[in-house]
Parts: sequence; structure tokens; C-alpha cells
Amino acid sequence: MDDRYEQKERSTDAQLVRKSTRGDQNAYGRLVQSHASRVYSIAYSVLSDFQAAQDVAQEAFVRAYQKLKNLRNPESFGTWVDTIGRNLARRALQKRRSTGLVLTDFSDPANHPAVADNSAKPEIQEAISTLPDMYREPLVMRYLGGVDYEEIAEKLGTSRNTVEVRVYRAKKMLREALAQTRGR
Amino acid sequence: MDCKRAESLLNSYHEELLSSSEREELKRHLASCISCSRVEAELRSVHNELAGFFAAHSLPAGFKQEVLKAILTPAELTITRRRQLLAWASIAAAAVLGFTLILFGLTSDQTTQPAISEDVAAEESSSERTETESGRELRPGEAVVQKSREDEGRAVRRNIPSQLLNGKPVTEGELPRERLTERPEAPAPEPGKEGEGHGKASSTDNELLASPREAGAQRRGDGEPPERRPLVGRNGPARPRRPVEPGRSGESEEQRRKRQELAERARDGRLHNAEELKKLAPEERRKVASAIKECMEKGVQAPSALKVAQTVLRNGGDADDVRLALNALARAVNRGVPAVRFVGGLERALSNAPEGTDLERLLKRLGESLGNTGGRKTN
Repeated sequence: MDDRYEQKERSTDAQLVRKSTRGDQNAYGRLVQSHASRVYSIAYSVLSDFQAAQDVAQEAFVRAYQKLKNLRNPESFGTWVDTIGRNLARRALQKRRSTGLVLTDFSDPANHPAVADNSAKPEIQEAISTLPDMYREPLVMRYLGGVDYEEIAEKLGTSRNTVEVRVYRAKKMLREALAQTRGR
Repeated sequence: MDCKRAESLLNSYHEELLSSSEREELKRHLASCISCSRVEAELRSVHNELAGFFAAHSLPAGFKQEVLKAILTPAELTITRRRQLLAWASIAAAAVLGFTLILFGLTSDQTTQPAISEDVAAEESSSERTETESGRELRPGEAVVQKSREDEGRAVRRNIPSQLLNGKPVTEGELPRERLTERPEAPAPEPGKEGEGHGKASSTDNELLASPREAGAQRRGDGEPPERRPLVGRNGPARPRRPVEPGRSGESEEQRRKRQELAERARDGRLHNAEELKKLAPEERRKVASAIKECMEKGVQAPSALKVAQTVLRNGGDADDVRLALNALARAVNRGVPAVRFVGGLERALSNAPEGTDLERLLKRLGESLGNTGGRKTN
């Protein structure tokens, strides 16, 4: 993604933000569409829980909409909503840790457990959750959010090469962890 | 190419980000280096497993709509859709008109708009909505378009009775607390002025609304409560519902007819949000209002609290069920569960499950999962 394309993306976001503040719900829908996967992946990298991450992502966009008029730099909407999502996720994680409860989806009251059963998680999910933050976040943004390396680098304030190295090291750690878990 | 260089390219190789020359060079190295080949195979396996695992949990397609639903009120959603439909309809109508006039060699004003869109424009401009952070400010008599559950995609217009709002602007997120009390008897309508047109709620706040069950029973004329599964609590059978009253003393025929009509519309989910609370007895309305207020004091946003209350009421719950649900919501929010998840889950559960028993079971499970050790009635 070269600078001109990036600038065009930013100005598009700025235009959409301004339209949204004037009541154009379609414009806000487009903002959601273009940033949702990334915010979701950021939330997941904190929470290691897909449903919780989805809820946090939704909450982040709702709150962003409510405070949209306060956004001074409309072109930085993406970074701003990332921050909202990350903060919400961290707050939720903190509260979950303090109570020891993990609440699952209540869509099927007949079947769901009241508290999430961690032993039922796939091994890969467990292994990802044990990665250090600096490796887990770019890995999840890449694979879950579909974010390209340039954008990850920009979001994390580092270079593309550094991001690629971190993702590579994350995979090596997962390889070791899975080998231990699976007894190879 | 040495092994260090080869290893540095493996990530990009698996993600097909290498140039063709780099890829070929790497392949040649892997073909000749057993160690690198083994590492490549293991990391490819991890890459494939990651890709498959995360692909199965990508954001659902309806995420954007869920966000917009959470942001927009049902009225705004429906108005937006209606505007879009009317815009297309007026464009199509103008095109047909223009084509027809051209055919007959006449000239006309090509910018004529169908009258209906003018009405909508007038309605919108007269409403003078003001966006606030806590909700939309409503003015008495303002037309609110509500999308009912049964009429997907079709707007049903309702007016907020001026008396309900008592002439004061009320945000959608707030309950008009002072309205949830008994009002003095309104005068009986004059003969000949029967009703105020379809779609308009009664202007007499004191009209006693039959519960939906009563309305159903009255229509059947058998005085029996309708077939609704009673709540079966932990401590046994449900509390008896309000008995069906064939008629109330001192009530005119017109008042009774209006009451039945409102009760029918309440049963069919065709009443405005605040109207739904009117079907409760005054004491129950006060309980719901104080439960919602309590919930908001615990940090739940008013729209979420009101939505939970309405959902419970719409599915046959009473004021105590609302209180229980709102207590569970407040506890969930205090523990970091986003309110949208709770409300969304509750609505999905209630829409998929038969009434009564599953509502009770859901509320019990919510209470248990949040550490509630009490019975049905808490606080």
C-alpha cells in the first residue's frame, strides 16, 4: 500500500466520518465495514475469546458513533476506534480475571454452560493465548483480521520487517507449544 | 541462498508474498537442505492450522447491521429505509412521467415529486430532532415510525399521545417516570367522535388496558385465559395471572372498545415502546420504572435497560421478571459483559423459545452464572 493509496484511504475515512456526523447512517456503515475485522482481531488478541471479541468490537463501534462529533481528526478514525476496542477488551479482561467468571453466549439457554469450559478449547487456541503480547497481536491481526503487514506495522508503530519477524517467531513458538501438547 | 536467508523467507513463502525469483531460489534451497525443508514443512503446518482456525471464526456477515441496529432506534432505521424506498420510487415515477410527457410531445416540470415524499419531508422538517448523546429528543405529537416484529420491512406509524409526554420533551432513553402513575379519569368521548383514526393511540391515559390475554379471552368470549405457558419457578407453579375481566364497571361501550383495540395491538406488538408499559397495572408500571431506574444507577445505559424490560414484557413476563432480568443485566455489565451481548442473547433466546418456562430458566441461569444465590425475586 503506497502513500498515495493510504492518503486516499484516510481522506475517504474523513469524508465518511463527516457524513456520519451529519446523520448519514450508510456512511457509518461503510466505516464499520472497513475497520470491523481489524478491531475484532485486536479485541481477540486481548481476550482470546471470539464471542467476547465480537461483542467488544460491536460495543467499540457503538461508542465511537456516540462520540463521533468529538473526534478532532476524522482521518484518524481507524486508530481511534482501535484504541476504543483495545481499551474495552482490556477492561473486560480485567473484570473477568477479578471475578473468575467467563460468561458465554446466552443464545441457547437449554444448551450452554454457565461458565466457559476452558478444557474444551482447541489446542491451537490455547497455544495462541499463551503467546507474549508482542507476538500474539500481530499474528492475530494478520490471520484473523486479514490486515496486511504495512498496516500492522503502522498500527504497532514499527516497521514491516519487524512485524514479519514477530509473526514468524510467533509461529515458531506455536510449533513448539503444539509439539509439546501433542506429544511429538 | 544460505539457511539463514531461507528461514527469513519462509513466512512470506507460506503467505505467497514472495516474488517469483525469490520463490524459485527458496525452492531450490529447500530441495537441497533437509534441515530447512523440515522446518518449512512444520511451519507450513502451523500456517495452515492458523488459517483454518481463524477462518472459521471470522466476523459474521451481519456484523455491520448489528452495529447499525444498536446505534439507530427502530424509528430511525425504518425512516432511513422508507426514505430510500421513497427516493427510488420518486425517481422511478419522475422517469415514467417524463417519458410519458415526451411521448405526447408535452413539456412539463421534470422536478415534480410525488406528494408522499413531500409529506415525509414535511414530517421530517417539523420533527426537529436533536441528536443527543443519551438519545433522541422527542416532541409531543411527533410521529414515530416503528417497525414491528411481525411486519418485517413494513413501517407502522404511531403517534405519541401528547398526554403521555405531558407536554415535555422526553428522550427515548428515559422513562417518563411521572407518567407512570394513575391519572384522573378522562371524559368520555363525545358521540360521533369515535376514535381518532387508525394508528393513533388513545388520548385518555386512564384507559384501562386489558392485558393481551384478556383481549384474547374477550374475543373468544369464553372468559378463559389464553394458551400461554405459565412461568414455573424454582418454588413451584407460576403465580396466577390477572383474572380475565369481561368488563369494568363504569366503563362506556366506547371506552371498552378502545381498550380492547389497544390490547389487541399490544398483543400483536404494534404499540410504541412506551405504550407497551401501559398494559401493566399502575403498581406494576411503577415496579418496572423503579427497576429500570435501579439498573441505570448501576451503570446500564437506559436504552439497554428499556430494551430488556420490553423484551421480557413482550414475551409474557411481568414486572417481577423485568426486575430480575434487569438485575442480571446490571450485574453482567458490572462484570464487564457488554450490554449488547446480554440484550442480544436475551432477545434471541426469547424469540427462539416458547414463553414462560424458558424465560424463567434463562433468568435463573443468568442469575446463577453471575453468582446470584437468591430466588427469583432479588433486591
